[in-house]
Amino acid sequence: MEDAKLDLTRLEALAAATRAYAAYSTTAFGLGYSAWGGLLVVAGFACLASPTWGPVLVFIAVPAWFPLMRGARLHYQRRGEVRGEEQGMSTRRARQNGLFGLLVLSGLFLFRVARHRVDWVASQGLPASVTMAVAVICTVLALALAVSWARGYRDTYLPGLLLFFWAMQVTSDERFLPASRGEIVPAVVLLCGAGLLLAVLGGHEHEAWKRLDHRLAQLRGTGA
Amino acid sequence: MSGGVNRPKPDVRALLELDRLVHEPARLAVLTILAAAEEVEFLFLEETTGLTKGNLSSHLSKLEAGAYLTVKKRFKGKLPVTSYRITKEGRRALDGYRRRLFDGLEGSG
Repeated sequence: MEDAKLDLTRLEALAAATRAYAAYSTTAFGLGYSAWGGLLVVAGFACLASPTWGPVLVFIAVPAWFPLMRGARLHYQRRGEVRGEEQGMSTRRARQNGLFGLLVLSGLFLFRVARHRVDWVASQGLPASVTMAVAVICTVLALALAVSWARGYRDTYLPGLLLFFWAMQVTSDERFLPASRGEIVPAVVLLCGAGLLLAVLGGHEHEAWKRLDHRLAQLRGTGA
Repeated sequence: MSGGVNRPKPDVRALLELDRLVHEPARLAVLTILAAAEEVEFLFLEETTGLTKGNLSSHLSKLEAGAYLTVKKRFKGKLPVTSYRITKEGRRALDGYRRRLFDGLEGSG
């Protein structure tokens, strides 16, 4: 009876480890957050260093994140892929809603870019055609990557937020990003602060993942 | 000497009714892992159970024959990948097995 109890305990541990592995793989073992954090901090500093090209980097961060996330997932899923139970109907619907939101946001942005004169681009001395080409390519690319690679609804949050941020910057008269080199504006502080927070969050989750990886190695071959 | 610890008698009938397909440590481990996720790759099962490829394949085939899991084969780049999902029957069998095992060990009286 004691042996049976011991086995049931091991089985419970195996089930819990599987659930945790699936959950961590959704966020690329913490590296999804860290990648966002790194991209946001780099973009924030780029805005300070170059008011002309920095904001373009903020926009490029949106599609750049997906390959980083996918690469991290593939690298750390060396024990094989596990799709968690949270990938059930409700989460699938949430992911679809997130993608739909991203699609609407992208459509609105592209519509505004096509229909309105973009004062901000001209004021920055950027070749408007180059900036708009980057914007359109990045938007379409981000959408395509999100549809193919987004694993959960969370994968659509930050791309959507940055897309919204950039759309506001480009298509409204309001100025959110620095007009001159080294000018510290709230948006840059927000970008860098959020980036650091995400990097710390990702690092913390990655440490937790390492502990789980160790636990999985211990469970291996226990005859559970 | 009947004044010892009063242990409940195992319910032998419940133990005899255990599902033999589940009542094998390797298959029980596999079903437990599959029940904790929606879809699991062969590699993960191999890594976590510590079984050899051949042994694991054999157990998976038996579970598939019993309709306790479904198999999905696809390609990840150029590499073939096999994933498994537990079916409703498999989940029911695992739950039933656990219940019977507990009932059997706890005893009827």
